[in-house]
Amino acid sequence: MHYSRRRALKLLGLVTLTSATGQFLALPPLKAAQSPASPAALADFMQISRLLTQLDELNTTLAQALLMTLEQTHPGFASALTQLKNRLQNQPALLQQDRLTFSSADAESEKIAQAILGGWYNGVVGKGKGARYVTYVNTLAAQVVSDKLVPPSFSYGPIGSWAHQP
Amino acid sequence: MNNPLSADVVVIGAGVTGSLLATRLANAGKSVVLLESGPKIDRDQLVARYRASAFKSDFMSPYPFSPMAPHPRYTPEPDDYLHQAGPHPFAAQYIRMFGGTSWHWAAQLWRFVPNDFRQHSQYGVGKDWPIGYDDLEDYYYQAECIAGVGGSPDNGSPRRHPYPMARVPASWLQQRVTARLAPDFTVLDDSTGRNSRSFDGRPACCGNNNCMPVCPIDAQYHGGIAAQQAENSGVRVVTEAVVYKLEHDTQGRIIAANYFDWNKASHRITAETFVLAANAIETPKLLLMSVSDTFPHGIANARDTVGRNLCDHPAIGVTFDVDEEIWPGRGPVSPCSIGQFRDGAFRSEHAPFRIDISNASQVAAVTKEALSEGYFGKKLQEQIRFRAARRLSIKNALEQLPDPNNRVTLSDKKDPLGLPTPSLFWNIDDYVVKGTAKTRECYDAIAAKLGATNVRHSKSGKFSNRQHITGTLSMGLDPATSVTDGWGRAHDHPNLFMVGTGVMPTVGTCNVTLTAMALALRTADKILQETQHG
Repeated sequence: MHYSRRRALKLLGLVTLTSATGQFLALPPLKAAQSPASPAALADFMQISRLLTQLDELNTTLAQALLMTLEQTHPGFASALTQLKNRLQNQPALLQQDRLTFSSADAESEKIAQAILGGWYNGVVGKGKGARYVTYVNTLAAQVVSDKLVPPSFSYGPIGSWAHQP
Repeated sequence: MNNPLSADVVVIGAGVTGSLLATRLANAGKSVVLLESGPKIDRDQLVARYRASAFKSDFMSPYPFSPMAPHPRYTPEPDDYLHQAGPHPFAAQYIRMFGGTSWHWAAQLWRFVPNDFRQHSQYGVGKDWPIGYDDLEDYYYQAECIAGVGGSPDNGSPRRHPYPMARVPASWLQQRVTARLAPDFTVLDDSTGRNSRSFDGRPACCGNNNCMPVCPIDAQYHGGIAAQQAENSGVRVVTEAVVYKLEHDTQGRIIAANYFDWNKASHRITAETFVLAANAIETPKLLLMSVSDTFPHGIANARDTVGRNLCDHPAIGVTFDVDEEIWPGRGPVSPCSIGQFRDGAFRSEHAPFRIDISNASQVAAVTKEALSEGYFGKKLQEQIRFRAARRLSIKNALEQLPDPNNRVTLSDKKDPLGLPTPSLFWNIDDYVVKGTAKTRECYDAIAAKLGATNVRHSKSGKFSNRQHITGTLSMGLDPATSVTDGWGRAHDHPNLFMVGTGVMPTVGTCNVTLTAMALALRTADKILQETQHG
């Protein structure tokens, strides 16, 4: 039963992603930059995302949506991404830490790394008036606990199914 | 737009109490018009808005903001609709929409305990109500049958009939917390309008863990259901109708309500009886706006009582990580509580309180927390799993005593229709502060029994609102200290009634909607009794 629910959730997640991405593309404030990210930028983004998440399997469609939103909401994101990539390649010790901290001179790289991780895990890019929803059920946060929980608003199961030890 | 010109009864506000009253009157043969300032939005749209929101922790986020019927909102930035004039912000979260604020709740439908109605005579503090528990018991049960309420029977509120709904089974979290806190703390099922079986055309709970801000499947009762039932019962509902003034005759009887539609065209509707059900902040606002030569301070306000005694349950919270996996997020979000501090002789000294144990998913919160601490990669995943499995969130509901200085008035600001916005003054007295100290002792004891680490109390001296807004239209025997009589009738206006939580003189230690529903049904019967043979 657990297995089939997870399967169903993953299937639902795929559908929702497509729908959410479509809605995202149609939002008026974002119309100005609907062109998909360049293959090179996407490749850099995927590489950095894999380094930061330490996950090899990342959803490429979601990556495109995150990259496009980050480019629209963070001025100078493309150059900051390149800078972050160089830092991570040239200073491999950065990724050996328990917690990701950069030198004070590299505050921008730390900020961009946090924004990328936040997008993958929260499904939201930016804060306050600049916050943009990108995805919900496809967040890595939901994925990390998907053997125990479903994202709020989706059905867990029949009445009382939550009474057993998870 | 449907613009009726007259009715037997005009009800202002299509929340749960106004809708219940309207339904009862319509079923008895009255012509009833229900005016609602906000729009009508379907549940599926609200669920979609929730899922696509960037601010999912803000319970107001799924509910569309309407400039012509503004309500408080806090994301992406506060709109400052409510002017805060006091030492503590009163961060009300009410919804101006068909169905009202109980769209975003956890369907907590509690009875007061009998001593709540005789607080002053029993404990020498606060106020006595003009009615007692026994006056309301039958109406409590009627409201419970309408909403389909279940819960623990031995929670301090005597019952003549069993709950109409069987309890929703306890989550693993509730089972573990209940077992480990016993016998020092007794954890009980909350009293909720949540289906454990198909009822009233709605399904049993499927554990969506989203009771707040919106149940996606209507397994829990809410004002949207009540408002739709009113419409289905023949009540003529007019949405996007912002009432801005009540008119009276020379005897003080209300003769008409004037409202703007969202194009700012003004309309006038007459009736034999008027009922205000626009919540404990918007109803006082309407009364204060309705000035005339005879009533220069507003309708029902000849003695400067309207809007005073603003109360809520000030709350403090604690979070910690339990020493075993309990996995909040499976089943309803607010399933259980500790009620042993709701009543007792100590009420003469300090505020009573209920302690509420959350079962809401902590995944989003702990993810943000771990990210802010700089975790990444596998460590981040480990931290999210560890914390999401163990994080317990607890808060309380402290009884605040009525204080006439805590009040709703009109601010200097105007909304887009040119109507003044509310100003709120809210202070917290020593009675609550002493109750806070007792609560913290309990929190620490609970944390110790659960082997807690990472214990974090909410900031000392700060209180959150529980959105149980009461007192501003208090019923009472003395017109000098109350707005309405024991039936919810304005002291100086014989055909003007008020329903909703505002008429409650005290706030008790439980969620207030069931008491307001019971009072509304009782007021409806009073109106019928007085007008059937008129």
